[in-house]
Amino acid sequence: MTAQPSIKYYRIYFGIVSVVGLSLLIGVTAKLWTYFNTGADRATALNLPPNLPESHVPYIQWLPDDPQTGRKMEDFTRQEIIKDYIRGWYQQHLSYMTGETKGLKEYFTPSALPKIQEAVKQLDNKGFELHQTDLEHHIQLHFYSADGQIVSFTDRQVRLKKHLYHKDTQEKVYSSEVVADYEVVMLLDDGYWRVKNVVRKQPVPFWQDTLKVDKSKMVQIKGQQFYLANQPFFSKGINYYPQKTPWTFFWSKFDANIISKDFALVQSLGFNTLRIFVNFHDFNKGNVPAEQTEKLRQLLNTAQKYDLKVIVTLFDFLGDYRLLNFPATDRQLETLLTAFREHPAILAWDLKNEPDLDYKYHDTAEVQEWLQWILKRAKIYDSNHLLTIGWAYPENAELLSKELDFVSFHSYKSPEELAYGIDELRKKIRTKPLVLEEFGLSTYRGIWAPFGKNEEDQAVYFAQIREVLRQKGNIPYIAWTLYDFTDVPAEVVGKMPWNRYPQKNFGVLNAAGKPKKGLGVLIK
Amino acid sequence: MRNWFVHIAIIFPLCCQCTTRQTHEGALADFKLLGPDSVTVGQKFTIRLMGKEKLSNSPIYLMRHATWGTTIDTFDPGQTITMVDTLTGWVSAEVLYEGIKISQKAYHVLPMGATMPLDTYLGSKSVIANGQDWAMLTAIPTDTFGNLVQAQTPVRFELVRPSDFVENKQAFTKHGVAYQIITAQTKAGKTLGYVSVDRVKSKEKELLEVADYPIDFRIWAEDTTPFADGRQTFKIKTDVLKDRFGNTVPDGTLVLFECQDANNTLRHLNGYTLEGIATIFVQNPISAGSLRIRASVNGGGKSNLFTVTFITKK
Repeated sequence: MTAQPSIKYYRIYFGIVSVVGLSLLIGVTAKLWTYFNTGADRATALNLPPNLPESHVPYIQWLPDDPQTGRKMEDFTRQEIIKDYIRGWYQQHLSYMTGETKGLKEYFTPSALPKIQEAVKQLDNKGFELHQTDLEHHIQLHFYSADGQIVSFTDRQVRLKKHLYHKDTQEKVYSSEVVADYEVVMLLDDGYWRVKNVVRKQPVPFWQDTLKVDKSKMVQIKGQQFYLANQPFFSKGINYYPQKTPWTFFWSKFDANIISKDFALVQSLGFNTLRIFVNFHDFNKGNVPAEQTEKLRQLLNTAQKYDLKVIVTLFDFLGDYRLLNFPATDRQLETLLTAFREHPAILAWDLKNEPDLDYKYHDTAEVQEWLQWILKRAKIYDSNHLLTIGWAYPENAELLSKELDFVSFHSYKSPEELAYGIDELRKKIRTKPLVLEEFGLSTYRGIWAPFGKNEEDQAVYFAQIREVLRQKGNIPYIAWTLYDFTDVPAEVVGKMPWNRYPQKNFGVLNAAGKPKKGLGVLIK
Repeated sequence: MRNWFVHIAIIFPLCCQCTTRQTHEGALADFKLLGPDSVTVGQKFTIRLMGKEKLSNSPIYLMRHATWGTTIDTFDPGQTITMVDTLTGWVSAEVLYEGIKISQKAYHVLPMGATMPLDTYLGSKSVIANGQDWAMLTAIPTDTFGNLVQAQTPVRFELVRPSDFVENKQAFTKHGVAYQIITAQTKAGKTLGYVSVDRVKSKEKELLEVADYPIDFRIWAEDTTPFADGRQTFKIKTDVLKDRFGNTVPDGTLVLFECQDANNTLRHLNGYTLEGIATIFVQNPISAGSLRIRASVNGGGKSNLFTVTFITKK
């Protein structure tokens, strides 16, 4: 006789027990997992300092020394004093941000230290957090002692930006910008210059040489029209990256020969304008190395050779609108704008590529505050060239339009939506020229976009966009982009292949470098 | 309801200007900040906010930008703040209500008079008494809270020179600092510097005025013995080494003695001056003949050539 299983429906029981057992196992594992992964986050547990820009580089200018300073100041000592003085300012900012005052000991004498610590502690005790940065220093030396250990100077027109927050809720209370003079006495002790006395004073303006302005070789604007050498100038442009080295590869793999070939090609195709991108990090933020400036110079010289005008877009992939990053952006701006202030190939400086995209990830007010400030700085460094901002959407393009020379925006939507966007923008901006700085259609059709467009669609799209631009007052255009790329870095639109692959096919030239159907339509 | 309308009326026009600037005159005419234009440190004073509306929904903050940092105070229910400032400087004050500046004011905090300790610095600590070298005596007077005293405060310097000559000089503080240059005279010694502001005196500072390099001098031998036995020693002495102004060189000045014996062996011996005189002991040579000795000071004078003759013992 065969043995019967003693439990009827044993499969069902087995099934239930397995499911219950599995869920218990998963539940316990999950609980252990969360237990070991919650609590203090790594940064607070390890007492890590906040992620900060690595060097603090505000604008520093030495005004002429007083005629009688006691002892004549040496250049080396100037550098030493400024290094420690500015580092002291930076330490103040850090102290306000973290509420920790221990680090100030290095930069203030024992008699001065309690004074600087007190303000920080009081603010912290009252539940506030202050984010601030210093932006400008103009130093006038008054006294340097015979033994080289005491200096007295006035730091003129020091500009500070401050954002005040409630510490617990991180809610912004207020933004402020103040300008003052500071009378400072510093002592050299132990190889370090430390602040001994400070007195804040009402700012007194000082006389500065004004730069010579020479716009004769540059593209200019009269009314709503662009002019070059007194002839009307209409931009037929293309956004440019080399085929094999777009975005993050562009500057690290910069090849002057490829640039030269490509620019010759761009000219032969009938374009007269190029738009290029300067990556903030590739140019080493606030400390631009000479070799990067040289690459940009070669590029602009090549453009000049082929009669192409260039819109140089700055601060691409900036990613940081915090106050402590302002000085670094100012230094990069100063380096580039003063180097190329007189270069005839530049049509305009585009101060930021698509800043309205950053509204999603950063505080909108902070982005706008930075834009307003960087625009002001740009006018000081280069008053020869035109200035604009490359907005992603026309509905955001009204901001700062009064201070810009022309208004640029991008559009990857349908021609009808573009027409609507232009109409709405024109209601708000009546006196400035408009430029469509980016538009395009990907001809990618494949696994990741089975319903993608093809070359015919692109040609139709270009024709329709051109028609809209013609109807809306002959708006100049710069299309995206010259080439179909062989590879698109992950930082641009993310790792997902359905985002990355279409990015490879926006070119007016295909992967083999041959014109697509749309090129002829575009350039007509 | 009225309060709410006022808030909207305030917020809308100021919305476009999120960041405010110190020179911005858009502070509402409705609110005025009353208070002194200048106060002295340690003096209690009151700031009052006057306005048509009574603001009672949220705290009213007073944000002050001062010399040593930023402070926030809250207005009391009577819309006043009483405070004492101990640190000098130009203070910019902004009144914040619900995220907007509704009034502003600037005032000066002035220092008190100088107090002890009076910070003085002397550098360098020594000079050469040649009538040209100089040092600097610096004073940075501060009040009881450590603030720089007000500009153009007179500072008196009394210098007692080594020649007992007393100089009384005066300088005015400029950008916190008053200084006096002390030019060396030609008599070596200590110059004492006394600095005072009003009735506040500093500790005296000592400036050492040291002799310059010596001029040429004489040497001679003492306690010589005649035999070249390689054992006995004799003394070579210098007369008092003085610089060109007659100051005795400082103790420890290095004098180099070069001794050349009959075999042309050259010995270098070092001596140091004590009260201007350097003495060395030289060992008798082993071979008969003349021992020629000359002394010199690096950077300074030389001596005569002194010869000591030795014979062999029979």
